[in-house]
Amino acid sequence: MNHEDAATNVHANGNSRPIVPPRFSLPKFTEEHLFLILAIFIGILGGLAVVCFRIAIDFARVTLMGSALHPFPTRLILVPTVVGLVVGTLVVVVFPRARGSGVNQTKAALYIYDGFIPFRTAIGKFVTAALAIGGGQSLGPEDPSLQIGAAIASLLGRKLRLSRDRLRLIAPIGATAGLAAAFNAPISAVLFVIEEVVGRWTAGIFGATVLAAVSSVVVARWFLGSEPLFRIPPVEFIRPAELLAYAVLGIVGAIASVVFSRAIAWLRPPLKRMPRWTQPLQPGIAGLLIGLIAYAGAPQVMGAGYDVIDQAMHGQFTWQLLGILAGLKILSTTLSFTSGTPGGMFAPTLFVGAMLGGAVGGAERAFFPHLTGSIGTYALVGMGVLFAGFLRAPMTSIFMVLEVSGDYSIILPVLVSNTLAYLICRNLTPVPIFDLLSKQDGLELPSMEEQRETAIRRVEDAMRPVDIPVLDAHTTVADGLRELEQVGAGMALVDDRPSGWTTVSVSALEHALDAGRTSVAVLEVVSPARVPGLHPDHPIEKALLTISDAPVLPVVHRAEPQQLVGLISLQDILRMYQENPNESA
Amino acid sequence: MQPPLANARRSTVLSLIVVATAVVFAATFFVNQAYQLERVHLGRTWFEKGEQSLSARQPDAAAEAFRTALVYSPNNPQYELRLAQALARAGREREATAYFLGLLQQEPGDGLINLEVARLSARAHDVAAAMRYFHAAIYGAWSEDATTRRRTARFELIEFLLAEHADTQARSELISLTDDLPRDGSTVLKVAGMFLAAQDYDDALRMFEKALALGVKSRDVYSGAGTAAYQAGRYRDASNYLGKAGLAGADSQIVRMLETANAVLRLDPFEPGLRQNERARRAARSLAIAGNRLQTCTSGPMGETGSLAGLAQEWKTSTRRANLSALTRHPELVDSTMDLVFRIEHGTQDCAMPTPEDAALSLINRRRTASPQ
Repeated sequence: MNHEDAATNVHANGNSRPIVPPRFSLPKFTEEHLFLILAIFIGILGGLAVVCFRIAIDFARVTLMGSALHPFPTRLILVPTVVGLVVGTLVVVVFPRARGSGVNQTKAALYIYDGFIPFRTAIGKFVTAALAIGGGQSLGPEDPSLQIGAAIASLLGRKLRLSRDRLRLIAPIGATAGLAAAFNAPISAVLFVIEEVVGRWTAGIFGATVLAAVSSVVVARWFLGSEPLFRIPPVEFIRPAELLAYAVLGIVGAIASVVFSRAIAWLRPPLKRMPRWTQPLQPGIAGLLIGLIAYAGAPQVMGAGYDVIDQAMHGQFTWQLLGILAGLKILSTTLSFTSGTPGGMFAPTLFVGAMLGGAVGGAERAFFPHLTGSIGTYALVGMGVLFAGFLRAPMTSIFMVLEVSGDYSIILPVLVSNTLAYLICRNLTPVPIFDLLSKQDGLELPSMEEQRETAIRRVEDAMRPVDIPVLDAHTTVADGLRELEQVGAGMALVDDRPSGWTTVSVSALEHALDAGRTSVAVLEVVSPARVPGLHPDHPIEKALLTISDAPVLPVVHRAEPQQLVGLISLQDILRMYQENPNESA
Repeated sequence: MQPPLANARRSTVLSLIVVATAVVFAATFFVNQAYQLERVHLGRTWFEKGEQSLSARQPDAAAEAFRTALVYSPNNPQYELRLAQALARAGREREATAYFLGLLQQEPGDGLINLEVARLSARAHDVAAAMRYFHAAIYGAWSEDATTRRRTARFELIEFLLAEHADTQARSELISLTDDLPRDGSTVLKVAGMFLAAQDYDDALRMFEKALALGVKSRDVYSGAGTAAYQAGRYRDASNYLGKAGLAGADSQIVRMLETANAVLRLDPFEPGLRQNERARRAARSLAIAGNRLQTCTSGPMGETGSLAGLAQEWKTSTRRANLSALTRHPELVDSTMDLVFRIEHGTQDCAMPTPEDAALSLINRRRTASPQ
C-alpha cells in the first residue's frame, strides 16, 4: 500500500473508506481536578457573597440607626427591639435553619448531612443576620459568612453531583472562603476551618481550602479595599520582662472566657425550652435590653463593634471604660446569641478581647509606668487571648494576631498569653463552646479538641516481648521442629527477609516431617504470603491493616532492622484497649 | 446520592457556574459602586459638619463629627488630622496624641503633624519630646508657605523653652532664627524681646538696635534696648535709650534702671579717659555714699554688728586720710578707697533697699571684677 492509498485507507479488496478527522473531545475532568477548579469558583462566589453581606449590614445600619456614630436615643431602644421581633419571626416561620452562628451547622453538614446545606439557609442567614447586626444586635458577620460560603459550596457540589466524600468536604471549603473574605485574613480562615471544623488535613483538603481562601480574599479586597477591619497602631514590645504583664492578660482573659462561655451555657437551654410562641419574641427582648444598655451610656456594645475596636486600639478610652465595655459586651452578646438571633461570635470575641487587653494594659501601666507596651499592643494581644480561650482555637488565634497586625515582633507576648488562656480555660471549662452548643442542640458532633487530645495508640503500646522462636527461612523442617519442641512453643516466626516475615506452626512442621520432608527448608512448607515488619512508633491502625494475614506480627528496630524488638497480635491490641480505654495525650 | 454526572454534563454545569459567577460579579460591582459613592458622600457630609463645629468653637462636637466621617472614609488622612486637631482643641490630649502618632507613622516628615504633636508635648511639659517634634516640624515638609510656617514653628518652640526656663536651648534656637529673619520691624522686635527673656543681653540689644534702624521707634523699643544695655553692662547706651523712653508713666523698674545707669556714669572712677581730679572727685563721692549707707544700716535693726563696726572704723579712717586733695595727688589711693567702698556696699547689701547710687557702686564693682586687668 502506498501513501496515497493509505490516505484513502484502501482495503485489500480495493474499496476505499474516507478518513474521518478525529472529533473534538471535551477534556476529561477527574473529580480531583473538578474539586480544585470548583474551589476557585467557591472562593469567588463566597467572596462576592461576603461583599454583598457587608454592604447589606452597613445599609441596614445606616437606614435603621442613621449615619451618626451615636444614634438618637429613641432609635437606640426602638430599632433593636423592632428588628429583633422581625428577625425572630423570620427565623421561626421562614428560615428555621438560619438560627445560630453557623459554625456548628457547617460541621453538621460535614459529619451528619453528607455536606448538605440548603441554599435557602444561606439566603435566610444573609437577610436575618444583616438585619440583626445592622439593627444593633451584639453579634458579628464572620460566622454567618462562614455558613453562607458553605451553603454556596454545597449547592455547587450538589449540582455537579460530586461523590459523597467530596460533597462532605465541599462545605468546609466554602466555609473557609466565607470566613477568609469576612476577616480579610486567609491564613486564619484556613487554620480555623482545619482546626475547628474538619479536624485534619490532607494535601487535597489543604490545597482546596487555600485556593478558596485566596480567591475569596482577592475578590473581597478588589471590592472593599485591602484596609483591615480596624487599624493596628505601631506594636511595641521591648523588654522580655514585660512578658509577665502579658501573662497577667492571659489569666484575666481566661477568666473572662470562662465567664462568657458559662453565661451562654447557662442562659441558652432555658430559652430554647420556652414555648414556641415565645421564640419570635426573644430576639426582640434581647434587642430591647441591648438598647437599654446603649441608652444608659454604652452604645459601643451594639453591632460588630469594629470601629470601637479601632478607637480602643488608638487610646480613645480610659482603661476603666474599656473594662466596663468588655463586661457589657459579654452581657449583650450573651443576650443576642442565646435569644436565637442569627449572627456570629467572632467579632464580639475580638471586641471583648480588645477591650479587656486595653483595660489590663492600662491598669498595669497605671501601676507600673515603666511598661513600654502601648494600649493598642495590649488590645491586639487581648483579641488573640479571647480567641484562644473562648473559641478554643489556639493556633488560629496566634496566626490571626500576626496576620491582622503584620508585625512579627508581637509573637512572644501572643504565644505566652494565648497559651496561658487556652490552658486555663481547658481546665476550667473542659467542653469548648462550639461542642457545648452542639450538645445543647441535640447534635453529636465530633469534638475537634477531643480528637486533638486523644493519644495516638502505637505498636509499642500493645507489643509484647519476643516469646516464640524465630527461624530463618532456610532452616530445615527437622531443625525447626526440634527448636519448637525444646521451648514448647506452638508456632515460630519465620524470617524470610527481604521478602518479609511469616509464621509456621508445629503441626505444619510435623506434617512435613511425616511426609518425609525433613531436610526441606521451612520456606518450602509455609504459605507464600509475607507480612512486613512493623516499627514501634507505627500507629495501631497499621498493625490492624495487616494483622489478618498473620497471627502475630514482628516489630523491628528502625535504626537496626535486624533487631527484633517485639511481637504484636490481635489479642495484644485488644488487651491494650481493655486496660487503657480512655488514654489521652 | 444521585449518580455522578457524565463528563459532558459536568462541563455544561461548570459553564453555567462560570456564567453565574460573571453575572453575580457584575451585579456586585454595581451595588458596590453605589455603596462606595454613598460612603464617600456620608464621609464628606460629616466632615463638613465637623468643620462647621470647629468654626463655631465646638471642638467636642467637631471631634464626634470627624470621627463619624472616618467611619465612612477610613484611613482618610485629612479627616484623621482634623479629628486629631479637634481632640487637641477640646483638651482631650491623650486621644489626640494617639491619632497624631498614628498619622506620624504614615507621614513622619510632615511638618504640620509634627507641629501638632510638639504642641501636645509642650502642654505636657515634656521638653525633650517637644524639642524633637518642633525640630521635625521646622525641618519637615510643608505643603505651602514653608518658610513662614517653619519660622512660626521655631517661634513657638522658643516661647515654650522660655516658659520652661530652658534659657540655654532658647538662646540656641534664637540664634538659628536670626539667620534668615525678614527685615520686618515687628518680627525683629519680637526676637529682641525673646533674647531679653533668654538673658542674652548682647544679642537682645543688637536686635533692638536693628528694630530702631528699621524705623520701629516706640517707648517699648527704647525701654527694651535700655534694659538690654543695662543688663549687658553698657550703661551709657542704657542711659541713652532709657532716657529716650521717657520717665513719664514709665515702669518703676525702668526708672530705677535709668537712675542707676546715670549713677554709674557719674560715679565710676575707672571709666577710661578720666582725668585724675575727676577720678578723685568720683572716689570721694563714692566714699561719702558708702558712708551714708553705713549710717543707714548701723542705725537700723542690724545695729553695729561686728563686721559693720569694722567697716565703720575703716570708713572713718579713710575719710580722714583720703580727702579730695590726697586722692588727686595719690592716684593709688583711689583704688584702695574704692575697695573700701565696694566692701561697705557688699557688707550692707542685706540691711535695706539700696539707693540707685548704692546699686551703681555694686555694678561698678561687678564690672571691674569681670573685666580683665
